[in-house]
Amino acid sequence: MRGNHGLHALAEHDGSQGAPYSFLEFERRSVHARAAARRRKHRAGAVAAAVVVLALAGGLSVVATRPVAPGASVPVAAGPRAPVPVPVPVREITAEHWLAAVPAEPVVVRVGSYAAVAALEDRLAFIDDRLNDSRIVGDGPVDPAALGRERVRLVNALASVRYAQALAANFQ
Amino acid sequence: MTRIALAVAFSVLACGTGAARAADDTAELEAKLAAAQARLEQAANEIAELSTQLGEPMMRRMIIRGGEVPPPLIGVTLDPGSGKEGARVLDVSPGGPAATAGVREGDLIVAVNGESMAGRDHVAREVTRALRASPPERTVKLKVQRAGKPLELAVTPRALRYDATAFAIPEPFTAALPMPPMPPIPPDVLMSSGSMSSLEFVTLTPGLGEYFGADKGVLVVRAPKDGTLQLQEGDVIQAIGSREPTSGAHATRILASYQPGESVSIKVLRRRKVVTLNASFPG
Repeated sequence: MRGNHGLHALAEHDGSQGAPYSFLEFERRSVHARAAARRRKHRAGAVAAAVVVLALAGGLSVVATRPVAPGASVPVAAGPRAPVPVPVPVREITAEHWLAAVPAEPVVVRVGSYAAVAALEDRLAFIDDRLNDSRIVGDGPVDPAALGRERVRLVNALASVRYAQALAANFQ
Repeated sequence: MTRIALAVAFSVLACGTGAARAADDTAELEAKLAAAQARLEQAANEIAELSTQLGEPMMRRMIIRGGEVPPPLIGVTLDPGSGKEGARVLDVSPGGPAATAGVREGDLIVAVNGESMAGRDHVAREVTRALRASPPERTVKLKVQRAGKPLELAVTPRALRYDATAFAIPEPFTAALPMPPMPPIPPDVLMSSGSMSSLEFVTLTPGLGEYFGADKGVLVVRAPKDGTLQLQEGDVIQAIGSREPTSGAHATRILASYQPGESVSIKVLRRRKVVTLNASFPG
C-alpha cells in the first residue's frame, strides 16, 4: 500500500521541482532511520523480556502465597526455620455465616445424628481455643497455620453435615 | 341398555384398578423416599465421624504436648491487639459454648464474672485466663459491649471428651517416643449407633411445659424400643446425674459424656410425677 503511494507520488512528480534535500542528506537520514529502527527493535525485545520475567515472578508469587487446600500436604523447607508471625486463621466466611443463620439445634434432636455434630462442634471449639492461645500467649503446641487449615476443614464438614441433616429433616 | 350398563361397569372397574395401582405406586415412592432420606442422614453422620477422626493425629499432638488435662472449651478467639477498653472477639466457633451463649464476632468483652477487664495492659490475655479458670459446666458471666450497648451473656464451658489414660504421656518423653496406637476420640459409637441413636428429644417450650406440668426439662418424643436407659416416650428429663439439660442438644451432650457400661440416675417427670431411673449405658 505504502509502495503504491510512493509510485503515484513519483508519477505525479514532473521533475521541474528540485529534490527537497540532497542525496548526501538523504543518505544520512536513511542511515539514521535504520539505526533508530534497530534501537526500537532492541527496546521492544527488552520490554518483551521484562514482561515475561515479571509474569513469571508474579506467577511464582501467586503459587507461593496461595492458601493450601484443606488436607493437602505442605512442603517443608530444609534448614532452620525463621520465626514466623502468627497468621490470621483462614476463615470460611460463607459456611460460617450459613451456620450462624441456621437454628442452633433442630426442633427434634435425634441423638444418633446430633452426637456426630456435637463432636465436630467441640473439635472446632478446641481448635479455636488453641488458636487463641497461640495468638494471645504467643506459643502453641502446633503450627497456627496447620490449626487454621484444620479449622477450615472442620467448618466445611460441619456445614455439609448440618445441611444434609436439614435436607433429610425436611422430608419428614 | 345392556350394552350401556356393561360399559359403565367396565369403566368403574378400570377406574378402581387404576386408583389401586396409583396408591401402590405412591406407597412405593414414599418408601423409596424414606429410604433415601435415611441414607442421606447416614451419609451426614459418616461425614461428621470421618471428619472428626481425620484430625485426631493433630489432637493427640496437642493434648500430649500440652501434658495436662485440656482446659474447658470456650470456642472463641480474641484480638491480641485489643485496646484497654476490653477484649475484642475476632471469631466464634460455630456451635461452641460461646456461640451457644450468644457471643458474636466484634463483641467487646469488658468483664468476666463481675470482674472488670477494662484498663488492663494485656486485656485479651487477662480475659483468656479468666475464661479458662472456670471448670466445665460452671457458667461464666460475661459483660460485653455490642454496637456500643451493654449486654450480659452466660457461657457454659464444656469438657473436652477424650481418653485421659491414652494421652497421659509426660512432656520430656514425647519427642523420643513414636506415636502410640490410641483409640479414637471422642468415643461416640455409643450414641451414633445402637439403640441409643434412636432417642429423640424436644426442648420444652412454655406450652409443652404447661401440658406436661414442668417449667423446664427435655421431652422424650422417641425412646429406644429395647428399654435402654428405661426412658419412655412422654418423659420429661429433669436431670441426668447432677446436670440439668437445658435443651435437646444439651441432653445429647450430657449422655455422650458417659462411657459404655457406666450407670447414671435420671430424674424424669412421668405422667406429672417425679421418677428417678437408675439406668446403665449399654456396654
